[in-house]
Amino acid sequence: MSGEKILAGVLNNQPEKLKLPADLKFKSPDREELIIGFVNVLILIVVKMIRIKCIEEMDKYISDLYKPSDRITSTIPESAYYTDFPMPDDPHQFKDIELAVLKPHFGVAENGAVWITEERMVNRVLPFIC
Amino acid sequence: MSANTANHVELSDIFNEDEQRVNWHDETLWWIRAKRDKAAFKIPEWELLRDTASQIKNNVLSDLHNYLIEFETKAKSNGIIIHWAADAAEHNKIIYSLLLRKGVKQMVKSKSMLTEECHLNEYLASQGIEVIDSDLGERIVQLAEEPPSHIVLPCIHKKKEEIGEIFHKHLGTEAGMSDLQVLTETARIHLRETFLNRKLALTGVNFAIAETGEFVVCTNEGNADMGAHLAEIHIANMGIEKLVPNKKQLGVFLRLLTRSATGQPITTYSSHFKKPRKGQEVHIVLVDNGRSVQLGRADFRNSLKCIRCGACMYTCPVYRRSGGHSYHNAKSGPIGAILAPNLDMKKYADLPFACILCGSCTHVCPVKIDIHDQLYKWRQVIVKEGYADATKTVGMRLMNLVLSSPKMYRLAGKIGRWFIQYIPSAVNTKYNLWFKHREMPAPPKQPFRDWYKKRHCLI
Repeated sequence: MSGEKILAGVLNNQPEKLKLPADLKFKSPDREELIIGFVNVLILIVVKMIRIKCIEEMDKYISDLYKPSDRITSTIPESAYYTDFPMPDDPHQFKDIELAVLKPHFGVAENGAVWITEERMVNRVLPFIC
Repeated sequence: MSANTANHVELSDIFNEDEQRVNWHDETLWWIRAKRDKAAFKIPEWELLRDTASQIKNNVLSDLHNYLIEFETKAKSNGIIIHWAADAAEHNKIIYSLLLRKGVKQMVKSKSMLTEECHLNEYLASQGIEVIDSDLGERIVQLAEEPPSHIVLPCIHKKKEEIGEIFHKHLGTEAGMSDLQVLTETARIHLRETFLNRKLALTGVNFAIAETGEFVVCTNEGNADMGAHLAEIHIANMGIEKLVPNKKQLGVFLRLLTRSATGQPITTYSSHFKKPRKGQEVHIVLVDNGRSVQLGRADFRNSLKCIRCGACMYTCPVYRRSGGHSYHNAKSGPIGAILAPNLDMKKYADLPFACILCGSCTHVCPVKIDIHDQLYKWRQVIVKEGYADATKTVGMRLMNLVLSSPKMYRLAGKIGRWFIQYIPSAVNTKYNLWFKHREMPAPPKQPFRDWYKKRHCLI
């Protein structure tokens, strides 16, 4: 009921239609510059960054940093911490995970963010609960 | 709330009782404004982004009816349940009925200025529902039983020592503890327990996309995500103006939002919610609460473009010195002062006057809302509708009388000079607001007019 009333009110009060602006297009800097940009933002926002040549180096870094009793999981099959969750739907099963290593799709040089979608998270809560 | 009965001037006086606090508040907010500038200047196309965002929002407002229908259709096909609320009361009832249906008495809520606008917490408390705010700043003001004083930084008016006291009282930290590391860790443990135990989570919405039916929630703490992903029911509430036509336009807004809000390149999390997870219910409540009326006010329509970054507040010389609570409204500062009179012109008649028309807010607004123009226009409307303060109305009439007659003007000047000279106590009084923070000038030896006449031999 309210929906129709609200929509009628909006239709009655909205002004004459204005066009959308043209899509913005920007030239992307070359790859080297992008990497420097990404690293610089990470430094600015105080994110610790580790460069690795292979997954074993990552595993070594983690094992040096964490206790063997800490629950660690990874979605990367080559990692020693790779875990297969047969029933990934219950979010509460992840509550005692100390560290989760996920693989995002890409990083954004301008703001230091990484993009990751649900299928790379095991469960939506995993990046937040650990 | 006692704040509702006092006006901006009286409430500013309360805030100004502690001069040191005002100075600190002023400097802190200006520091964020400086951070915003630094972040903005790093983007060469910043002004193009502002222009584009403004035009996208113009398009949204001009075709809101169709975008809303498109959004509703797409969201429903994604498995989301849509509710419409004409006003605050209906919004609150919808949320309560969902809690009731599930037999849930506790709810966790991430930041949503809309729930502040609708006074949801107070309503649910009166129905015996416990709400825990999961944004750290909001949790602090909630424990202190105060409303937020800023839309992005809800407890910016509090010092860490005061937060330590609140935590000591409610969360059991040591008395006198003001170490930020300890305080945040305490809050983290307290909120984590809450997240794990709540069946129902409510979040706000930063942007909703008509094309796909998804919505985006931006937080620095990940608290919206923790709540939503652990709860069986996720309710997202949004004002009907929050739409963006297509996903591709999101980048424009995400690049502007956090740089304007805190000077960060982007919020820690910009989470897209599209479909409920397996076994979960997702509800969206689309709230009007005066927005469709504002859409019809050509002079004030632009206020609906607001993306709630808070930049107009950091930069406002009045807000920085009067504090967020002086606006006696969930949305404070310059933007609050143009949104509030739309909801209740009488109650918020004082707000458009809490401005020196410097235009700084308009200058920083990421979606180019003409905030100071609208504040000026609201004043005309409020005076015409008869809601202006009585002393202001009488004062303006008197000024009109004096300034429109040269004879009266001269006489008034004479009287004024006579008083300053012979009975200075008549003007050096607390009733003379001009005298409040200033000395009255010495009476001139002769009025400007006489001096000019003598010099130019004019009649």
